[in-house]
Amino acid sequence: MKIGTFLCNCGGSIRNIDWDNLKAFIEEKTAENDNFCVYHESLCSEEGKNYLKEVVGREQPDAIVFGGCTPKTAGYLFEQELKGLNISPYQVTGANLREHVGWVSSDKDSATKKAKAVLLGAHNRAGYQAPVEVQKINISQSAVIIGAGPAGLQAAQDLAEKGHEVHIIDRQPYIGGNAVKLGAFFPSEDCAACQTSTGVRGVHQSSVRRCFYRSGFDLHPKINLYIRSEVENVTGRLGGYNVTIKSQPTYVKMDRCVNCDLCSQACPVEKPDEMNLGLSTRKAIYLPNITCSPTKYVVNRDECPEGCTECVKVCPVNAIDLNERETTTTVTAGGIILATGFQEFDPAIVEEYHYGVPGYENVITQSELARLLALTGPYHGKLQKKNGDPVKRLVIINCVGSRSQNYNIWCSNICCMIGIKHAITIKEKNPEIDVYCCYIDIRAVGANYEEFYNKARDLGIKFIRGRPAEVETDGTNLYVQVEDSQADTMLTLKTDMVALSMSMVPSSGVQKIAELLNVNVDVTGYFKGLYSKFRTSETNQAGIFVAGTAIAPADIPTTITKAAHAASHLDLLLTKGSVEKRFPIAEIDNDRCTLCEICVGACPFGAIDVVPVENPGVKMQVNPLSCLGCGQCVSSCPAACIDIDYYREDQILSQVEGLLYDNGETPDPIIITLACWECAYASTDFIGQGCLTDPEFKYPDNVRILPVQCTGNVSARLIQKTFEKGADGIIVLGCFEDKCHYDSGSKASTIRVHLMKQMLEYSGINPDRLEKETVYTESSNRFVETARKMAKRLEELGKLER
Amino acid sequence: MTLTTELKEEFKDLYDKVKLCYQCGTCAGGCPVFKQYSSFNPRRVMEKLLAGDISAEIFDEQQIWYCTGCYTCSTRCPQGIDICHVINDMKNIAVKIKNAPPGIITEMTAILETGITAAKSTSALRKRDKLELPEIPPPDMTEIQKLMEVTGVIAKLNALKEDAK
Ligand SMILES: Cc1cc2nc3c(=O)[nH]c(=O)nc-3n(C[C@H](O)[C@H](O)[C@H](O)COP(=O)(O)OP(=O)(O)OC[C@H]3O[C@@H](n4cnc5c(N)ncnc54)[C@H](O)[C@@H]3O)c2cc1C
Ligand code: SF4
Ligand code: SF4
Ligand code: SF4
Ligand code: SF4
Repeated sequence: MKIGTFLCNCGGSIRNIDWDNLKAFIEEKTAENDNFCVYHESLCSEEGKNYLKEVVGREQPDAIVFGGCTPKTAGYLFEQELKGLNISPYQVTGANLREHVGWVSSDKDSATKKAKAVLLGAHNRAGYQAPVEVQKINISQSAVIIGAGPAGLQAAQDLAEKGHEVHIIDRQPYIGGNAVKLGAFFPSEDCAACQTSTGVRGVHQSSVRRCFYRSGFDLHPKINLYIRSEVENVTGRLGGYNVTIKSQPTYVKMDRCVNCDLCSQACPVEKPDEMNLGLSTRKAIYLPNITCSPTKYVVNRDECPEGCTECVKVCPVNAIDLNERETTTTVTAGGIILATGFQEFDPAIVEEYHYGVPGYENVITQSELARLLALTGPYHGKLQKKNGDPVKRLVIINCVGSRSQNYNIWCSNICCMIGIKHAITIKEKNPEIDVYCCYIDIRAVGANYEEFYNKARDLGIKFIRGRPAEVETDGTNLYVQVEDSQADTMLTLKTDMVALSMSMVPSSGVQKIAELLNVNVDVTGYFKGLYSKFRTSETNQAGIFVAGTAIAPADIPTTITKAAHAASHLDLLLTKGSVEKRFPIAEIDNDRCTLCEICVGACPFGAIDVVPVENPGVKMQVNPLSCLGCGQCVSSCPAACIDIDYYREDQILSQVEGLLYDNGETPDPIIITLACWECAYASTDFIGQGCLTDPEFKYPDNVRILPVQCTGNVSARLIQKTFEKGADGIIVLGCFEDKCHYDSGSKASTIRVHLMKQMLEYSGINPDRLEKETVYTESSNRFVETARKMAKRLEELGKLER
Repeated sequence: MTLTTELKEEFKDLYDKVKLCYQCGTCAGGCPVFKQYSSFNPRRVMEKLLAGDISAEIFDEQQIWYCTGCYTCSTRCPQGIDICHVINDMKNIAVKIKNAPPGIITEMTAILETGITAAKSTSALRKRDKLELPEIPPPDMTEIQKLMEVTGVIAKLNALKEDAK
C-alpha cells in the first residue's frame, strides 16, 4: 500500500515543531512501498489545494496521512479537492499536529518528539484504511401514525398534503383524542374540538380552522383512517416497515351512514355514557360525540341483547351489519409517527382527596369538570352537583400527582392554565359562584397565559398559595384543609365541589408499543426523544418519530408545533425516496459467535437481530439500516467476534503503537487518551486552541490522544492490549453520560472502566493508571485536570513494569 | 449561639433532608397543632432550615416542642420529606445544646415513673365508654423503664436535671 504524507504548517502557526526533522523522520521510518512525504506552508490556501490535487493526481496514493490541523476541520477542507481522485474520506487519516501538539507544547524539542509519535501513529493506522461500501436504502412513500389526537391529525394532514400515503390508527371510534372532550379551549377561548384546515391559506378556499366533524379529514384521498384499531405487529426497518393493524368492527358502514339517529332511537339498550362521566345515557348504538369525526354511529356489540336487530330494521340506508368481524390489515410505511398522547393520572392514588370514595362524589378531575362545563356535556354546560343541586362554591386543587417525589416528579406544564380556564368559564357565566384555586406556584409561561391569569384575578377568582392537605366531608359539604401560606393561616374551605388538576401521564399501552418497535421510553414513561435540545421528535430508531404529548405534557399549540416538526422530518426522509449510507457498521464473524445474544441487548438501537438459520438454529445479524457504527456491541461481545471497519482493534492498536514511539528519547511514562470522536475529541481541539491564549489549558506532552467512535467502543481487551503495547496510563475520554451521541455508550464505558480498574488491581497494576473522564467543549478543562493529575501520579509510579 | 463543628454537621444533614421543600404548605395544612395554634407552623420550620437559619432561635425556640409527632405531615408531603422526623432531630439537637424547655423534664419523669405524660381525663374516659372501647391496660413499668435505660433516655434525663440545677 502506497501512503502519501502531507505535512502542513498552517501558515506558519505551528512554530514549535521542527518540520525538517519531522519530515526526515517519517521518510526514514516509512521508506518502503513508494511512500512519500511532502511539506507545504499552508495546504488549505488556494495554491495549497492545487498543490495537493496535483501531488495526489500524480502519485496516486492508496491512502493519505494529513499532518497539520485537526482532522475535524481538515476532513471538510479537502473533501472537495479529493473528489474524483479515487480517494474517499475514509482513506485520509489525520495527525493532529496543531491542536494536539504544536499549540499545546511549550518546548520545541519536546513538541517535535511528540509530533513524531503522533505522525507515526496516524501513518500506521492509514495502512489499514479502505473505502467504505456505500449502501442504498429505498424509502417507501408512506407513513403510519399511531394516535389520532391533535398531534396525529396535524402530522397526518401535513404528510398527506405533501403527497404521501398516510395510515392513521386510533383505538377510539373517533378522532380528536383528548381534545374532543374538552369543550372550550385556552387561551383563545374557542372550541378545543377544532383543527387547522387543509390546503394553503389564500390559495385554497379554507378558513384558518374547522371543527373536527366538518374538517373532511377522513375524506382526504391520501389519508386512510383506522378507528377502533391498534397496532398488532411491526416488522422491517427504516424505509420499509410492515405494520399489521387490528381493527375492531364498528358494525356501521362509514360510507353509508347518514347520521339520521333512527337506529339509536330504536335501540332498546340504555347505558351510561362514558364520554359524559356516566351522568347521561346513550344507547348500544350511538354517536360518541357530536363534535368528533367521523360523525358516524358505532355499536358496542357486547351490550346488545341476544338476537336483537331493531337498529338494522330502521336504518334507511342499510348501513348496519351486526355480523361484521375484526379485520387485520398490513401496510408498508417508510416511517412511523407515535402520537399516542396522554391520560390523567389515577386520582384515587392521591388518597387524601378521597376521589372515588362514597360520599365524595363531587370530588372530580379537570377532565370531568370540562365535560360538566361543555355544552355537549351531561348538563349542557350548567354547573351542578351530582345530585342536581347548584354549585355555589368550587375549589380547584392544582398539582395533584405532579411535581412530587411520591408520584410523578414532572410538572404537567398546563394544569395551572386548565384550572384557570375552568374558573374563568364558570365566573363569566355565573359570577355568583365562588371559585378558589389552590396552587403551589402558578406557571403561566405560554403566549397570552399571564394575561389569562390576570383576567382570572380581575374576575374575582381567589388564588390561595397552598397545597391542600385533605378534603373531608360531613355528608353534605366538602371541606378543603389548606394553609394560606401567604397569610400563615389555616383555612377550612367549605365547598360544594372540588376539581383536581391531575398530573398528565403517558397513555396506557405505551410500553407495549415501545417493546414492539424497540424505541426508548424516558424515566417518566413517555417516549424518549433522541436528544433534549434538537432532534426532539426523533427516537432511537431511525425512521420512527414521536409527536405531541406522547413525549411530554403540553398544550395544543405546542402539540401541533411538535407534530408539524415530526411530520416535516419524516417528510425529509420520505421525499428522498432513497438514502445512501456511507459509514462503516458492525460486522459479526458468525463462525466464532457463541450465540450468547449479549450484543443484542448492548446495542441501543436494536440493530442486531436474531435470525433463524438451518444450522445451528439462529444467528446474529446486524441490520445495516439501524446500525450507527458506535461499537457498543464490539466491546460487549465476550467472543470478540464483532468489529467495525475503520475502528477495528488492530487499526486502533497500530495507532497506539505509533503514539508510544520514543526511540529511547522519552524516558517519561506515556499516557494514551482514547477520545470519542464526538464532543470528547472536539474538546481536545478546543483545549489546543485555548493554549494559544491561556497557559491554563496546557497539559504535559506525554499525554497522547487518538480517536475512537464512541467510548462505548473501548473494550476491556483494547485497554489491556494498550497497556501491553507499552502505555503507562490510559484516559478514556467520552461525552457526559446523559449526552452520549450513541445513547448509552459513555455510561457503559464508565462501568467498564470501573470493572477494569478492579481487574488491574488483581493483576498487580495500579488501578490509578486508568481513568474515565467526561467532557463537552465548555467543560474541556476537566480533561486538562485529569491529564495533569494522571501525569503527576505517573511521575511517582514511574513506567509500568512489564 | 455558636455551633460546634459536630452540630454544623448535624445541621447539614437536616438541610439535606429538607432541601427539596418548595414551601407548598401541605404539612401545615394537615397539622393538628397548626390548626389550633397558628404560631407553630411546620412549613415555617422547614423554611428556616432551608434558609440556613442556624442562628440561636431555630433550636432555642420552644416552637418545635409543640409537634406531637403524629407523622401526618410526613405521609402527605409531596416531596417525600419526613418532616416529623426532621423536627424530632431538631429536638435532639436542642437537648444537646441544652435548649430543651423545662417542661420536658417533667414529662420524661412522668413517663419514667407512671408510664404516661398526663392522666386520662374523665371526659375522655366517658367518651371511650360510649364508643364501647376496651379499658386501657395499665402500662408495664418494668418494660418501660428497661427501654428507657437501654436507649439512654434515663442518662439524658439525669443530665438535663443536673443542668437545670
Ligand atoms: C382537562 C384538560 C383540559 C385541557 N384544556 C386545554 C386547553 O384549553 N388548551 C390547550 O391548548 N390544551 C388543553 N389541554 C391539553 C390537550 O388536551 C392536549 O394538548 C392535546 O389533547 C394533546 O394532543 P395529542 O394528540 O398529543 O394527545 P391526545 O389528545 O391524548 O390523543 C392521543 C390519541 O392517541 C390514541 N391512542 C393512544 N394510545 C393508542 C394506541 N396504543 N393505539 C391506538 N391509539 C392510541 C388515543 O385514543 C387518542 O385519540 C387540556 C387537557 C386536559 C386534560
Ligand atoms: S455498532 Fe452500535 S449501532 Fe451498530 S450494531 Fe453495534 S451497538 Fe448497534
Ligand atoms: S455478543 Fe458476540 S458471541 Fe454473543 S451473540 Fe453477539 S456476536 Fe455472538
Ligand atoms: S409539605 Fe413538604 S414540600 Fe410542602 S412545605 Fe411541607 S415540607 Fe415543604
Ligand atoms: S408530626 Fe408534628 S408537624 Fe407534622 S403534622 Fe404532626 S404535629 Fe404537625
